[in-house]
Amino acid sequence: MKNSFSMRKAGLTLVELLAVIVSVTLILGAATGLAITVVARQKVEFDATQLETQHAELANAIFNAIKTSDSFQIFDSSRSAEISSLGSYGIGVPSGDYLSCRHNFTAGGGSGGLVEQDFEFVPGSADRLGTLVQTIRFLSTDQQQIRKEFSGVIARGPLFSMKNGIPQAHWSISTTLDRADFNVYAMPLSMR
Amino acid sequence: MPSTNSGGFSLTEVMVSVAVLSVATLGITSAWKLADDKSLAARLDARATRILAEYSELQNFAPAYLFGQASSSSRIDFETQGLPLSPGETRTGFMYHPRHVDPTGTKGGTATFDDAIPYQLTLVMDGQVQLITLTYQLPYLSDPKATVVKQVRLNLWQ
Repeated sequence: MKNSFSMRKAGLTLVELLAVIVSVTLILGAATGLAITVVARQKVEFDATQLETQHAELANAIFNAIKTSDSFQIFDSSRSAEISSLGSYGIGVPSGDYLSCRHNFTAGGGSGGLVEQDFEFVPGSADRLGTLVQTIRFLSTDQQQIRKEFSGVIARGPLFSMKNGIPQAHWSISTTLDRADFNVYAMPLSMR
Repeated sequence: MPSTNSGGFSLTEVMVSVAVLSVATLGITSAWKLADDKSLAARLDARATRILAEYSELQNFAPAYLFGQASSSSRIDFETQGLPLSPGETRTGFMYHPRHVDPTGTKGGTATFDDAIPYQLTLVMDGQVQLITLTYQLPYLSDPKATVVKQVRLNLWQ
């Protein structure tokens, strides 16, 4: 009996060891499952927030482009916009998927620069689902154009319009959680 | 007596350990819920700021003939979209459009969204100052803490 007691003090029996292993495995499994769920949930939240933030920045860019433009024009598509020249935009439309804004910059010495900011809705495979493309062109220099793409756009109609005489843009995005709507109204300072 | 004790845990010990585990689990779950709630509150706050910015621009720069045109409809829809508010006018809309989940638990297609978290937008005139107020309720709190009021004050140019 004394012998057996000292053996018990020396360590766990096989049954006890197995019970401990099973318990620890269960606890670790549950903790890992919870951690994976939390990380997956956070990823969904993060993706939704990131997409909405990107489009909020785009909305801000469209607002500032219209607001500070010296001239702007709405076209049906990029094909219609291609016929415009440096001096004149040509004929536009009241509502369309292409917005072009021009800014004249004059440096202190007198040498100026013409910068064009274009926003185009490019439809994807599904109807009225696509990408908004922002392009900044430096028309009077050889500087390379800057192009940014914003995906996940849902357009219920033409993206840009002059409804009620106010330049505006409307689109939605489908995030991993919900739908977010974006409405931009901007009266150019030159039109005040 | 010592041999009885070495045979296993007492009921009190088991109950205490279960209680400690329960408190820890509740703590983790409520922290997770709190993170979700705060994230939603931040998203709603950003959207409210955007809506107020839209209406600030409209109130300041919309052509004069547009004022008063939307009084027939209080909903923010295609008809009232882009129309400035008239003094005392209230419009309603929804801040949040979660993906639609049908009763069987499956999520709908990309174009199916529900309307949740209604908001009210009102305009009050105070002399030359326009006060646009946006009000909505946070879904996870009870009144009065749930009510969020955001305002923008516009000094009209002459």
